Amino acid sequence: MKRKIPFFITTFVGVFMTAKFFLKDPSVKAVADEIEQWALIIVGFAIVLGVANIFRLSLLAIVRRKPDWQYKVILLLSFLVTSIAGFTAFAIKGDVFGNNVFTFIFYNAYFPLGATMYGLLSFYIASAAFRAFRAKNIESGLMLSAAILVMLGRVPIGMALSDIFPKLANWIMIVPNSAGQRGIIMGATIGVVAVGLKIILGIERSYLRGE
Amino acid sequence: MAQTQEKFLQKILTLDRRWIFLMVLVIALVFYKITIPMPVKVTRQTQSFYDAIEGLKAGEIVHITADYTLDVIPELYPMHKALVRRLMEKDVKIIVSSLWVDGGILADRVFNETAAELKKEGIIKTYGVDYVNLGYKSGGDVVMTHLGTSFAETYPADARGTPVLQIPLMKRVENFKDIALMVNFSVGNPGIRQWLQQVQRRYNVKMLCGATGIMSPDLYSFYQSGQIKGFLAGLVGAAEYEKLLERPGKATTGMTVQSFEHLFVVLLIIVANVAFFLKKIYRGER
Repeated sequence: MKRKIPFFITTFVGVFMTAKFFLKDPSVKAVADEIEQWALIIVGFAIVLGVANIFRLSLLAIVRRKPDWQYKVILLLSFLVTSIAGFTAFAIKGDVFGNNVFTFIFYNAYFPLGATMYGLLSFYIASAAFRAFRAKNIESGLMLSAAILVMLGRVPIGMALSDIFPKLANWIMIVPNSAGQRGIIMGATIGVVAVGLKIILGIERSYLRGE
Repeated sequence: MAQTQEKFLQKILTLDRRWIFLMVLVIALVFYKITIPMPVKVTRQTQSFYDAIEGLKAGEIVHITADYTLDVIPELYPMHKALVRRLMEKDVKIIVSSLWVDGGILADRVFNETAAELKKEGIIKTYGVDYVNLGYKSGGDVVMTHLGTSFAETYPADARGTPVLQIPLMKRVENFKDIALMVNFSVGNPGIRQWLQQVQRRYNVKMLCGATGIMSPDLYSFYQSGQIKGFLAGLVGAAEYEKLLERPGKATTGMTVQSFEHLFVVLLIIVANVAFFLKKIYRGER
């Protein structure tokens, strides 16, 4: 029963959601719409579940003094302070916008931290390019040349140096890049369709505890 | 002599990465302060993006999906803001939704800043009549497909908690058939690829996109197939759009830093490869 019910739900949902895509029958649409509404509600609960799980695991790590437990303290404190600020703002005004503690945290703590994480990429890209980009054979030489041309052709300084850089960069993006992307997309999509069918038909049951 | 040269080359190849970090930082700081005017060449995809926006008529409704986070603000915020300003100037109505937590708050900031700027110029834009922020909704693909059935069912209330059926602009929208154009600002999944899969063909929605530079190679094939009518690729795309609007903003000023950082990385690659080959020659390797 533990496996039959989830399998039945999966097949039912899969069949109706697929049918909605291809059929214009109002009864099929009505069932599929109802399923979507349920899905939206369940996803909402999944967030609560996820947050509760992070809270529980972090708390356990702190109590048991697991490695890096200090970071869990910061995580829980940040979580609590931000949540309380958000809920308080919502209780007072009905939304979280405007001048309040929540937006203060959002723009003065979360914003610079996020920007720092993204900004660090430029440092690592420069370092990695210096160390890893070596024309050791024809293939790596081709990749290297393409990378240099795109890097120069996509920024104004390349355009200022010569008209050829943007033209070549554009050609690389439109012809070889698009061809490769299409191959990947088509292959992946056919794979997704196959896996979807296997799940709906009950051939693939790994989601039911790795059967 | 050859040994000294080989030693020198080895030194270059094993250069402490902290020197590279320092040089990246110096370039960023110097060219953040010193802005050199750069020639921005408008690409075909940016021109198509611009044309699609210019083709909109006053009163038509555009759905912007702000599916991005705070960390990519330098790339996506300038294009988001330039677009909202242009749409407001054209009196096109805007609905924003987001499938990423930060998106709703960022959309609110874009609206507030733009409405304040326009107010100074004598153009008054009213929340609920000219623009609406539906905020963040979890659920990814399910939210996308359900918007095709009903906006009001998917978002019963806007980001401020007002029931959408009480909002004048939302009374005009049942589903995608009432939307003239959708613009997705994308940073990952859920993002443009999912909107294309779930919405574009199924509901025949005219779609544009603004994406990070890293994501942009994915978009060329969708642009060629006509699924995306145009797109802005990273900060450069935003700068191109600002050029078309004849209103240079943050993206245009960012071009100096980005140009010199790119040039620096290219030089690093060239230096490393020259050193690599010279070392091989000195060692007598082929």
